Amino acid sequence: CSCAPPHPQTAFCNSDLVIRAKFMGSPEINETTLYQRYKIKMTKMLKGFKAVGNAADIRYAYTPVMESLCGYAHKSQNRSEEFLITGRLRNGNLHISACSFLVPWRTLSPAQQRAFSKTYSAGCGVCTVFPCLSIPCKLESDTHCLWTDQVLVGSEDYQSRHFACLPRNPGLCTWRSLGAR
Amino acid sequence: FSTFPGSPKWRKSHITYRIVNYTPDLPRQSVDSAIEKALKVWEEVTPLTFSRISEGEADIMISFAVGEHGDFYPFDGPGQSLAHAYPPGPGFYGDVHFDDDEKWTLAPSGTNLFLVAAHELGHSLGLFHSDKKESLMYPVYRFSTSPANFHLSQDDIEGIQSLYGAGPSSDATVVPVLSVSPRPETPDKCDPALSFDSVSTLRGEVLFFKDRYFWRRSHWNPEPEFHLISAFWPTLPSDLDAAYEAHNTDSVLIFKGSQFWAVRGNEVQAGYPKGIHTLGFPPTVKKIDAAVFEKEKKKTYFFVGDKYWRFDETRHVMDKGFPRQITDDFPGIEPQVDAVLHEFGFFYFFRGSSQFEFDPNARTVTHILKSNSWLLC
Repeated sequence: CSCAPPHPQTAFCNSDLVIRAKFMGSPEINETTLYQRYKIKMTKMLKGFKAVGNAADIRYAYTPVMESLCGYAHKSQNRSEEFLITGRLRNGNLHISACSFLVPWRTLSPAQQRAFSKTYSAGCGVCTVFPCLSIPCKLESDTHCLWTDQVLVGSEDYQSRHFACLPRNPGLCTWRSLGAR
Repeated sequence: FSTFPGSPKWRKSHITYRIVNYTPDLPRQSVDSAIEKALKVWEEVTPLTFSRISEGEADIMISFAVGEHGDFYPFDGPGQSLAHAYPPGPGFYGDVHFDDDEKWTLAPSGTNLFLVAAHELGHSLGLFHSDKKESLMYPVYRFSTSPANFHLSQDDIEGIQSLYGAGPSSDATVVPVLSVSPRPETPDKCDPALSFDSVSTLRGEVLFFKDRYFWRRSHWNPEPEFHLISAFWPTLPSDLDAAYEAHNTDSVLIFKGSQFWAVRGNEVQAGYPKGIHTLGFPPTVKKIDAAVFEKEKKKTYFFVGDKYWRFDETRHVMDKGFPRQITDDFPGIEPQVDAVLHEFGFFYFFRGSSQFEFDPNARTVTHILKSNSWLLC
């Protein structure tokens, strides 16, 4: 399994469901499909109301058993830790993968937490975070924002932690600070 | 590194593969050669050999697909997962699928087919993901280097050799492959015997050169990065003699033999290499051992054998009265230093695996450290 570098805004926009949830223990394995499901306890839904309804309760997260098939392996044993989970909806089930943006909620900056709850959605469908994977790289469209965290080593994801790619004028997207909003 | 649960592996050393279909993003021959190069990455460090078949069932079936593609694991459109692969075994095991919603390229932009193929084939041979960021088996795609310069990390090599053992050793058999010189081992930053070829600062970071590689240590990232010199400066040689940063011109001067280069950031400056004698060295000097720039005085010290020279970076001439004996002015420092670094008001002299912290005001060695003390071991 190879994953594209996960930008939180791209992950938000490309996901059917974005929730906050706790992992409730070891996964159950289905030996036929080689899928496993993690029991989760959803604490808040951030995206996906239209797809699953306002009152929906998501109780399982499905993922391939094998990591080489992009299966997600949950490392933490802490059942009280809350995670941000971005995932796809398939047959009414939440699917996650090794490539999903899935991190402890507390590791996000307050600005990013706000962005997941509100700000990022303003860029979905309009603006594209364009990863710069090697220097030189250039924008391919006015609605792209160049994401340079990969090539600026030591940046510690500064750009993805503090900015969102949002519409400025029709046909133009730019990085906007999450802090100032 | 890690292997799959139960460590499945191929119980034979000759493995077949077949490229079942192609991406519209690249010419067929380019796909063929990217896959071939990706297999060669593993072939070079194991006893395994690979041959391609054009029909029938091969051990490793390689295909491009979008969305649902006949297994339980549909692809997800552009981005996110780029490819996946099965561990060794019969049937679909060993197979590699590429997500054709990605833009496959052989360039640094887009998704480089060679790099992803090399990673996925690692799975096909029995390797799981590694949590080491510099390893090929790290799950997040990162464009590191072109296929021509690509090398496995030590972690990848140890992983694959834990399953299959090492390849036919280069001294026992003649291997008629591309590489002419035997590949030197990748240096280990925590090897207590580690020495450096040269050390320089670069815009606030410190670079430690060794063979074809360098470690890069920045203040904001305590974990040093490890790179090929050629990945940053393709035209520079390996096994450097000396390097220093001339802060007044924002450049790093790099020495090997009787030549030197100037680089700014990741660009080698035009007009180089130049001969070291243009700096004012006598013809008897064939190479520089070490060099260091003292910001405050705008002077560069060049160490050659048991002597040193002082160069005025403002006037661009050697100072009068030099060379002088190293031991006269740096008591406690033995001749033939490997590298020198000037940080926090101290000179750090590197000699083999030892490092001497020299206080220029007290004119004395204040600490003796391991050379690799900067690399967080």
